[in-house]
This record gives sequence, C-alpha cells and structure tokens, in this order.
Amino acid sequence: MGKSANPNDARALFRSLLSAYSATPTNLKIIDIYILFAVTTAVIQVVYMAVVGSFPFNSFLSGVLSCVGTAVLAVSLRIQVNKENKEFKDLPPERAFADFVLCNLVLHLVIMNFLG
Amino acid sequence: MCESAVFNPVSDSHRSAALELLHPSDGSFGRVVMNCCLVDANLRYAFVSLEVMYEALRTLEVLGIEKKPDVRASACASAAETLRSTSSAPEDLFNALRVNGMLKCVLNDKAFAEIASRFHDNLIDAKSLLDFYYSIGGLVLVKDQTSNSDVQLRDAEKIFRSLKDLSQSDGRWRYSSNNPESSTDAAGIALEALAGVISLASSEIDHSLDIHAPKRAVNHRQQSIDSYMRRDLTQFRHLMTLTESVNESNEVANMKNDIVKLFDSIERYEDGACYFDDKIVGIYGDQGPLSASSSVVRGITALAGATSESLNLPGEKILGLAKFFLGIGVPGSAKELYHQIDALACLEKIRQVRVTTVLGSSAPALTVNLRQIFVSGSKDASVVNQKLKFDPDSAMHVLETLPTNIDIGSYVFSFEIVLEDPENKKTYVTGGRTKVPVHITGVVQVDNEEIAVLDSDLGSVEMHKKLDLSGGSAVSLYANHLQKLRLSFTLTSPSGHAFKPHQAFLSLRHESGVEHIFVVSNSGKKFEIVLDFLGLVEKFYYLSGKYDIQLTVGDSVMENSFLQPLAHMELDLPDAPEKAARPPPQSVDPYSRYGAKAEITHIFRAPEKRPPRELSLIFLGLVLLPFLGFLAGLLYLRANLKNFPRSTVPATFAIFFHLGIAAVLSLYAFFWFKNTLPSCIRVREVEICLILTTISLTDMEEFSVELSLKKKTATSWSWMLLDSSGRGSVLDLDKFALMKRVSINARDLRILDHLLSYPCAILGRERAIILNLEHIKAIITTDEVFLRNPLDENVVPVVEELRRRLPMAFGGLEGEDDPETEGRTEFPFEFRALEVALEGICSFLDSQTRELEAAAYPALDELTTQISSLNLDRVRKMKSSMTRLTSRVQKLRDEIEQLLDDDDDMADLYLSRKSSSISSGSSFSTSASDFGIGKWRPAREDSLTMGFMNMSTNNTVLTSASHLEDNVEELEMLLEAYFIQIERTMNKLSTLREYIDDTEDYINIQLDNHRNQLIQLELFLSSGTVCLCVYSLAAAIFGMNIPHPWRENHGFLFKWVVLVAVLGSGFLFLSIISYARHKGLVGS
Repeated sequence: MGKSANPNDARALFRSLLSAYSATPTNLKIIDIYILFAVTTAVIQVVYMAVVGSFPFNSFLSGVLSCVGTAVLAVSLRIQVNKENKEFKDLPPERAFADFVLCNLVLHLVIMNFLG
Repeated sequence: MCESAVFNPVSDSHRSAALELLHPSDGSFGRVVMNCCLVDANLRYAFVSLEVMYEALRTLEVLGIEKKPDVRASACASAAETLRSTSSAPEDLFNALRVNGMLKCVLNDKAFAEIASRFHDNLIDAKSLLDFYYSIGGLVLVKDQTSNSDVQLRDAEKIFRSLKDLSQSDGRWRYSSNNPESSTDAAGIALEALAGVISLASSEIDHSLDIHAPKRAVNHRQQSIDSYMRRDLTQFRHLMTLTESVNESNEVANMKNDIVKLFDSIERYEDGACYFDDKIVGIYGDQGPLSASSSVVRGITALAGATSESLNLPGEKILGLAKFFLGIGVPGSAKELYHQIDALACLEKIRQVRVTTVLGSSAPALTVNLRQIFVSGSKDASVVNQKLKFDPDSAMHVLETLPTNIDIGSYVFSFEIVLEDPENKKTYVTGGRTKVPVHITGVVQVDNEEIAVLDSDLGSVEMHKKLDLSGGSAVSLYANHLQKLRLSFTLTSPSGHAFKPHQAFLSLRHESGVEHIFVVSNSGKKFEIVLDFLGLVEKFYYLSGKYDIQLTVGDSVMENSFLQPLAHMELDLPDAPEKAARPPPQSVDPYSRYGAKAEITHIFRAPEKRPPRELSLIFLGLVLLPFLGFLAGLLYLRANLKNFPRSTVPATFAIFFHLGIAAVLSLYAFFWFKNTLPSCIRVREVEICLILTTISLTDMEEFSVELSLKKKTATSWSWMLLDSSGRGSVLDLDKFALMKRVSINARDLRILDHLLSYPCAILGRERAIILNLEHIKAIITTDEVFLRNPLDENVVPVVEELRRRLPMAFGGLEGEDDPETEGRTEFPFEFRALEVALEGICSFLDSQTRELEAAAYPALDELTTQISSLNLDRVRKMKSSMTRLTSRVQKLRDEIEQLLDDDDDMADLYLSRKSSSISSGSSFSTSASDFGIGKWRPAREDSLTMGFMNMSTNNTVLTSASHLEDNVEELEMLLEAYFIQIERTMNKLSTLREYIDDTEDYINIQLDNHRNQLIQLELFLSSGTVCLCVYSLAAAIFGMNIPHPWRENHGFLFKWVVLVAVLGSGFLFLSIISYARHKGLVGS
C-alpha cells in the first residue's frame, strides 16, 4: 500500500477510464451529456445564490430543483435504458423514455406552480 | 299647556306638520307650503294621469286650499274627455269621475248613464278585486253626481259574495282569486268596494238578505257572535242597537268581524303609533305601511258611511293610526302626502278619534287633570289631582300653579282628559293619559365653602381659609406630603332641599400641566372631599411645586353652574425614587389632548435588495453556457435523427407525440405568462367544448329531447279524471291548474306527491276530499274523481271498479229533480267514490296479507324441521315484510278510527251537502255552515244550541238543518264496515306474528338443548383428560432418567405399576362421573 505520486499512473488511470467509457453506446452518452448539462446549470444557480443572494427564493428553489430533478430522472432513464443492466431487461427503452417524459411533465407542472 | 299637545303627539315639534297647517304662525310653515307647491305642480303638469290629479285635488281640498280656476278648467276638460271616450279603461273612468266629483264640472246625464252601463258591463265579467273596485267605485260616484241615472246593482248579492270570496281568514284580502297572496292594502280596497256595493244596493240587499222567517234566529246568532267577539269591549250599547236593527244583514256582521281581525294584525311602534304593514311589495306599485294604512282607513270610513252604523273599533288603535299618520311628518312625494292627508280626513270622518285639533274643528267641553308626576330616572310617582284651568279665548288649558312638592329637576307629568259631557263619550275617544316631560330649572345656593390644610396624624388645622365662590379671588395654600387638604361646601335648591348635581369635580393642576381630577361626594347638603397627600404621592408622580385648585359644579337644571379656580397650593413632596412612574408628557396645547392623534403611517416590508443588472446578465449567460456545451456534446457524439421513423403511420404518431409534449409545454408557458391557473383551466374547458361539439348533432338532439321530457314530467302529473257518469279520461295537469280546478291548497296536493311519502290520509276540504291511501291517491269532488297514476298496476283495478260503480248509483239519481230528498236513500257521489277507494285499499291489503300467510306458514314449518341458514333467511325476510305490512295496515286503521271518532271531520266529507247549502243562496245556510266549521263552536256550544232550539219553533230551513246534522251516520256506517275489514286483516297479521314468535321460541329451545348436550360431552372429555394426566404423571415419574438404586432389580414391579396406575385413573374417572351424576350436572 505504498503511496505513489507518479503522475503517469494518474494519466494511465484516466486513459483507461476514457477508453472504457468510449465503449459505451451513444444514446447513453447523450444521456450523460444531458445529466452533465443539468447538473452544471444547477451548480451555476447555486453559485449565483451564493454570490448575489437568494431573494426570489421560490424562483431559485424551483430552478435548482428543476435541474436536479431532471438530472435524477435522466439517471433513472439511463439505468433503465442500459443494455448491461440485467434488472430491466424486459423493459423496452421506449417505455422507459415515455416514463421519463411523463415524470418530467409532472415535475415541471409542479415547478411552474411553485415558480410564482 | 297646549291642548292639542295633550290629545295628540303633535306637540313634538318634529312631528307637527299637519298642525302647522292650521297654525301658520308656528314657524315651519315652509315645508308644508313647499309640499303644497309640489301638489300644485302636479295639478298643472302631470295631467298624464288622472289618478295623480285626483290625489292632488283631494289633498288640496282637505287642506282647505283654494283651487285656481284655470287649473280647474283644464282638469275638468281632461276628465270630461276621458269620460266621453268610449275606449278608456274602467280605472281611468273611475279616476275621471273622482276628479269630476271633486271639481263639480258640468256633464250631461246621458254621459253618466252611458258610463253607468259600462260599469255594469264591467262588473259582470270582473275577476279581480281591482276590477270590482273601479266599477263599483265608479257607480257610486255616478250615483253621487247625478240623480236620475240607473245605478242600481242588478245582482248586488252575487257581487258581494264574489268579493267576500277573496277575503282571507286573518282579515286580509287577495287581489284576485288566482293570486294566493293576501295583503292589507287589498283589504282596504275591498272594504271600500263592499261599502260601495252596500250603498248602491242598500234597499235591494235589505230585501234580498232579509229573510223573514229566520229573522229572529239570525239575530240570536248575531248576538252570540258579537257578544263573543266583544266580550271585553265595554260598548254594549252598540250591540243593543245592532240587534235591534233587523235590516242589518249578517254579511255586514261578518265583514265587521273581518275588520276586527284585520285590526288584530296592526303593527305597533313603541310610542303607541299603529300602522298596517304590507308584506308584499312591488306587485301593485308601492305598498308601504303608509299606503296600506291609508287604504284600510279609507275602506273602513266608506263602510261606516254606507252601513249607517258605527263600527266598534278599539279606540286606542284608531288613536294609534292617527298618531302614525301625524308622526310621519311631511312626506316627500305628493302621493304620500295624499295618502296621509286623505287618511287623516277619513279618520276625522269616523268621528271616533278626535283629530279635530289636527284638522281644525272645535273640541267638546272637557277638563284636563294633572294626575301624576314621575321623577325621571326613578320609579316612584306622586299622585296629585289638579285640574287645569281652561282659557276659552285661546282654547288652552293652563296649569296655573305648580304642585307644592315640585323641586328643580326633570319630571314627567301625566295628564288625563275627561269629557265633561257624558254624551260625547260615544263619539269621542280620548288618548288615555298623556305624558309630558317637564324640565324645571332654578338657582342653587352655594354656602359654607371652606378649604383647609390639616396635619395628618393629629387632625389639627394647620391652615384654614374661607372661600368666596362668587368672587374670583383665589387663596394661597402651602402643604407637604404628611398633610391633608379638605374642601367642603353645601348646595341648597330653591325650595330648601338638598341638591345633588350631576357633576361635582375638584381638579388639581400642576404647573407642568399634569392634572388630577377627584369626584366630590356629598352627605345630605354638605359636600366634602379630603385629599391625603401621603397616599397620593405616587399618583402625583412625586411632583412638587405649585398646583392650581379648581372646582366644577354643574347640572342641567342648575342655572348657576360654575367652574372656578379656588386656590393655589404650594405642595412639597419627597423626591422620586428610582423606579417611580414618570409623569406622562403633557402636550403643549391643552386642547390637543382631545384633538386628532398623529396619523399612523403604514410601513410596508422594505423591498429586497436587487443585484446589479450586469451581474444578473452575466449569470444568465453562464446558465446558457452548459446548454451550449450540451449542444456541442451532441454534435461531438454525432447524435442524429436517423432513427426517426420514415414510413407514414409511425412518423405521424411520432409527430403527434412530440406535438403533444410541445402543447403541454406551451400550456405551461401560457400559465407562466398569464400567471393564473383558472385561465389555464379555461383553456382546457375550451378544448373539452370543442371535443363535445364534434359529437354528432343527432345525439345531442336526442339528449335534449330526453331532457325536456324529463322536465315536463317533473312539473305535471298524469291524472285520471272520472266524472259522475263513469267516463274516464287521462289528463296531464300541472299542480296549479289542479289547485285552481278543485280549489285546494298546495299543501294538500303535496300529500299526494309520491316522491314524498306521506302517510295515509283522508282529508275533507271545502270542495274536495283528499285521499291518500298508499297507491290510491285521489281527489274527490262532488262530481269528479281525480286519480293519480292511473296506469299503475295496483291502481288499474280501482279504476275499473270506479268506472263500474260510479254511474250505476248515479242512474238511480238521474231524472230526479230534488237531490236533497233523494240523498237520504242514495249515496252521494263522493261517498261512492270514497267507498270504492276504501274497498280497493282494504282488499289490496287483505290480499297482500293472504299472500304473505301462504308463503309464511310453510316456510315456518320447514324451519322447525330443519334449522338451516337458508330457511332462517327466508323467515327473516318474511318477518320484515310482515312488519312493514302491519304498519301500513295500522296506519290506515288509525286514520279511519280517527275519522270515526270526530263527527266534525266526518261532516266535512259531506261535499254535496256543503255545496248545496252554499248554492242554495240563503244567508242562513252560509252562516250555518260557517258555524259547522267555525272556530267559535266549541266555546259557544251552549248559546248555539239555544239558538238552534229557538229556530226549531218556526221555519222550514231549520228542518233541513237538523236533517243535515244527523246525517253523519251514513258515512259512519260506511267507514265502520271498512274499519272492521281492516281490523280483520290486522288480526290475521297479528296471528301470523304470534306464529312466527312461537316458532322462534321453539328454535331457541332447541338450540339450548343442543348447547347442553355439548357441555355434557365436554365434561366427559375433560374429566377423561384429567385421568389420563394422572396416569401419564406416574409414567413420567418412573421414566425419569435419574440414577437411583430403585431402578435396579425391580423389573417385576413394572406390571404392578401399570396396573395400579390404570386402575387408579379409571377409578378417578368413574368417581368424577358419578359425582357429576349425583349432583345432577349430567343429564339423565
């Protein structure tokens, strides 16, 4: 368990990670980008809140929750769509996507209401 | 003391409008003049309506103001034009005649004759009260204005009756026969119309209504009515004249009865003013209390004038009415002024109330006594009897000397008016005791005022000053906190009594403006206050320094109330401790204490700090960055739409899917921009509406047709109408048509509503019998039967039976001229119908009972042989249906029994008799039927029978009356027969119930037996178990796996152990059983 501060190891690790990731199917990648987008937006809003203040608190909350909620839903979608995942083998991806859309609609209806 | 003030409340200045007319010097003449101007203006310009013109003229006439000739000419012309025109309505004619009569215009007799004939024509087909009123009023006016035209009423009696039919039991009247609402206003109009009828046909009515034979009987009856009505009234003299005047018809007496009832409904203000209030507003114009009251007063006056006989109205109510009219003051509109003035004039005409001081005719000789003096604010009253001196010149009664025991203060003097001439008592009513508030003021003497500073503990006088309250000189005092201040003075009223003013205050005012006020209390004449500064140090806020002392004594009856500075006092108080209360800050301006407070400003929440705009925009850009990154990532991954379906059908679905999502999102956006949920929902509603419109139109039409059908059946019911010849026809009558047709109330009709399940009922009404016997719901009149739901399967046999039976009996009757004599042997129509209905319901109930019996007995027998849940359920259903049936039968039985018990109710069912007695037209028989159902009957039984005995001496009508009385037997026999049948059904049912009860008992006993056997078995088994336990105990003991010397070499004992244990447990078992047997626990 020796400590190795070798930067090459880290680079090798990243490389192997990237190569492993590049093997994932495109649709999962799209979902990943989407999740990344949502999370980044949420982070920016939180930063805004920290810098400026949370005056329209409703709006801030709804904005952040919208992002986080879609991210979570997207993660669920990714789990269901993933071919490797044996648990949802019987579930067609169309069904999973429909669930995703419906949940998003409900989530955003609530958020619209909360937005004030 | 103004005389009118004693009689009428007009002494109150705000009420004195009418009085001021007669005493223009009183000052506020202006308002009345203004109103007269209004009236005058009406005369000049409002020629559009003759009614307005008449009202204006009448007002002016009563007030005694001269009409201008030019007004008169034009009014005459207008009236004459209306009178000549052939197309004017009776209302216009009537008003024109009134104007004409007022102005005494010239008009030829021919025109009058024509008008009279037109009124006659109108009278014949008059329906509503107003038609009658205008026609009769017009005829009366024609009669007044010409001498030789034909105004005799042709059938006064019929008109009289039809007017009477509109009257209600509480003395009010309806406007027309199909309008159920009654009103006081209508009562006034009706009374006026009746008076017109009487005056038009007085001779005729006297002849036609004056039945020679029962004259004396009528008198007796009338006497009994009147004595009953007016037992409490003292004016028996009128009663005597009433009975002597034979030509007075008893219709008029009935009417007077109505008037008395009408007066019972009078409303009352607290000060005794009475008025009639009208509940209905807005149907026939404005009908406030004023117009209603004036209408009633006018009607009563007209009636009193027409019948030439005084109406015995309670004096205080007339007085109350006069008070009401005077109390209104000067009303705003000319119409209201007319109502007021006209009613006052009418009241004067009745000559029962002396409103003479109001409208200016002389008063009779009378004396006014001062009877009582109340001290205001206390209950005690001193009774005096002092006569007021009468000054004939100014017609004033003067109270010359005050009673000796009157001091200053406010009092209520109670005056009583006594008529000197006893003859006048008949024509005048005095207003009882009149109370007048009196305020007596005087100068109060202030004496012995002195102020002193005392040492607290010793009470010795440190400083003592005499004061002079009349002078302005203030004395100077010095005191410290260990001393006391004493102030004393006396107050004496002019007559030497002690006087307690409303206010007696001492105020101490510090130079810094802090003020303290103390109430000075009294004992007898002496007022004294002692201020102990030691106790007041806290209250004075430890403020030392100069104080101004001020005394306030005041009362409304005290002419010399004062507020005076008494002294300056140098007060030495200890220093304030740390936590003592600070004196309140004194405002600079002393009056600002009572002025407006500083305005309260509302502070809203401070607006949140907004970030600078640039910062926000930067962050907006930052938020957009990830989105751009997302798009870039998509491009990097080479995302494409290759998988989007190409073939048409899936492509359309895909497009629809995306459009749907887009629609929902746009809905969100819409909601976001509009920021209201309802509008959003409305959008959905529009969608739904659009979808609905696409539903085929034919469907919609069918739907609407169905709806309208439903509506129709809801309002109208289907009825089977069977007439006396047995012909039936099915009608769809709605409620109101039916109510009108058979003249019953909506309440009675509601009994027949099968949505509301009313119990059984047989009700006798004026013209109909209402039957509700379960499914047979019918209304029976003298010649028709209305049957509900004739297509109901249970009702069909009844209809058949009615068809068969109704004409059969009628056939015997046909051709006979006199149904009265035939009626004894033949059943009247309504009883035939009633019999069929009763028979129908009895046989229906009986057959149901028999059906139930036929089903119940086998089921019960089967249950006794085998108790199964199926059988039990059957019997349960049977029992519940039997209970239902029993209650139905019971209900009908009770109804018939109740009817049988009450002869009056049975008499009510004699419709033919009632209708024949009504149509026979003799005044006697109406009154007889009135008596039959009237409410006086129980109370006046003895006098009535006396009346009947007297009658039986001479006339023929009476024999029929006695015949009517004993004829209840017929119905009684009929009802009894069916009562017995119902009773029998009832018996059957109770037998069945007992059988069921027996079966239940049997089953219960059987079950108990089973239970006992089970218990026995359990006993056996459990005692067996106990014995086996004993045996196994032995086995367990020997089977224990513990090393022991006994275990060795005792194998021969095994058989003994087993044998002894078996025998022991067997013996135990037997002994238990034998014990149970011995005790009788186990059945034989």
